[in-house]
Amino acid sequence: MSWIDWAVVAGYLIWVVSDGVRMSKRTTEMEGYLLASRSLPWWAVGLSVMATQLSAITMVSTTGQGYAEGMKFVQFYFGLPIAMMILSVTAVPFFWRAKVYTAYEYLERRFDSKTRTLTAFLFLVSRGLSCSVIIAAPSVILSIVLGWNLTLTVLAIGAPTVLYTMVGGVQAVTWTDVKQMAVIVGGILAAVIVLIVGLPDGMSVGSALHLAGAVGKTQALDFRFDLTEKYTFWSGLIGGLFLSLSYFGCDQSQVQRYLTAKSVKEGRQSLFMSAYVKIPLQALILLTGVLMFVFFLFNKGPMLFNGAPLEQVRTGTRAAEYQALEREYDRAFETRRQAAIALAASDAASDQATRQSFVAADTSLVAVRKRATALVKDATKADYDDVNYVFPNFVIEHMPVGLVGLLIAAIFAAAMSSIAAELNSLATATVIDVYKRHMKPEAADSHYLLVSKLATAAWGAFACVAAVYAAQLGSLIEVVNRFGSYFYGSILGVFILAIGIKRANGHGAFVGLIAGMATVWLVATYTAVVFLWLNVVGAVVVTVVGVLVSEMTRSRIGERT
Amino acid sequence: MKPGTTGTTGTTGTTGTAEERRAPLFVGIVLAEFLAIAGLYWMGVHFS
Repeated sequence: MSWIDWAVVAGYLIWVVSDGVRMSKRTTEMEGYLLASRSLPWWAVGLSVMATQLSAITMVSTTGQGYAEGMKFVQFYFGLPIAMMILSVTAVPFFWRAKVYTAYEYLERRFDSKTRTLTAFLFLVSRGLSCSVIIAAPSVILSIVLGWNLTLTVLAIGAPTVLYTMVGGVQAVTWTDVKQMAVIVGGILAAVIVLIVGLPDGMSVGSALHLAGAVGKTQALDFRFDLTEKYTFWSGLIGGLFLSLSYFGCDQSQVQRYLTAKSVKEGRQSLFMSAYVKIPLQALILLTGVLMFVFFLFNKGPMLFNGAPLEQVRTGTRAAEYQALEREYDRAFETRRQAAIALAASDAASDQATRQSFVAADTSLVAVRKRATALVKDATKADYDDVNYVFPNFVIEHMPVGLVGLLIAAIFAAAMSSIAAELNSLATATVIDVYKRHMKPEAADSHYLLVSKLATAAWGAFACVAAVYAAQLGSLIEVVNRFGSYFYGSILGVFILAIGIKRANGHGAFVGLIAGMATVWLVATYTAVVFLWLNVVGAVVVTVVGVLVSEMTRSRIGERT
Repeated sequence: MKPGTTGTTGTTGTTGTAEERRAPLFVGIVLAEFLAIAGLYWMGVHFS
């Protein structure tokens, strides 16, 4: 990286942190610190909702998915607009008018203390761990691609975020989110422009997409109803609907965003922004990956993009085998490049022979890469992830000076916006649902404000330390992500009982929640059903069991009286 | 049910301004999603 790129990254960090810290002037009482005194405009809250959801993992991994698998991951978001419509007439008015600080606080008013405490506990455990993963995942990638020390990378992302979140509270989180979304979208657009400009002379974007389409990368929709297929139209529409309902309706990191809105109407509008923008934005990020695929048809990239363990392989006992694969890769790349040039020059619709030779050349190259990946895994006896390194590698090696800094800043922004919202919501749940509820119910507002700041700092320190350890245990990241999906749908079931079913009671909600989580664990462990459907399973089981137990306990109470 | 709650309507009932109570129009969102999916379908067919 040149000094100009370093200056851009440094400038971004100074801008965001100083802007966030300035917000401390507006947060002199707890409601201001945690909920911005319910005063924020819909567009700022809407951008904050989007920035919180869009983490660095999403940005780096989604472009990688576009490169490797094409557009089909976009189906994951098909349920989101429907979820936003439902939440705008349920969760938003319920939580906002109830004047609660956390979603779980509402559960005690509706049910009982044990249901509130269990859901808040599940949130704190899962979000605490996921916060460390959100720091760890981009830190690992940036430290390898940029050659930085891992611990320093974790601190470079984590420390400024903890600082402005602790000092400025939710005001800082929201207003820095607005700026961070601008940096993220600006970075993605810059990458798309560089990719289009970098196409071979005379090649249009349409021709480029025809090349990608020849190997199925423009096929976004899969209408098969298959519970074992990760991304289909139906899993995205139905499973994605339940996941979005749970994430935006029951997860404090999102609920807290629209609790800061000026009014119910502005809270609704903030969710509508995601409903309109999310699918096109994700499609744009995936399209960036598809265009990267076309770019690497004509510009030779490395056989494997994650260079971290390759030195060990090149100097180990399998070195000769790896070198042979590299020579094979060189030949496969040249064959595919020639086939791509021929296909781009031909009438793609009618020239089936040229098309088939391009598809065959791509299949051969992908096969070489798969063998190389298997060799690396076998030689190092460790997990090996390559897809997440494609975009950072493209940025470092092929973006012009200045834009490299902008894209690295965009990855920082994506990570920091999600971390800040999570730290803010973790602190809120800790203070409101644990400290104030169970430890010190009657204290001055200034006391809770101080404890909120300390809780933010404590969660930040925990997330950074855990991130350093998580980064060294690659497979743990996946475990943590899977752990979250075990109870996401189940917590949604509790809120369905609370908001939608008048006859449900606290016993029903509590037993239903336990039954839902146990069922999801069984389905996830003993069947091949993919994780998006687990949200549906959890929500349905909790609702059904909750209603049954509520009726049983109600009739018993009735018999006794 | 805890004191102060009103069944399925939250802790403060269905109070709120008339504007808040009115369900928002969802036509725009449904149309936007339909167009997005149709656009993705067209992309898959046209560039295959």
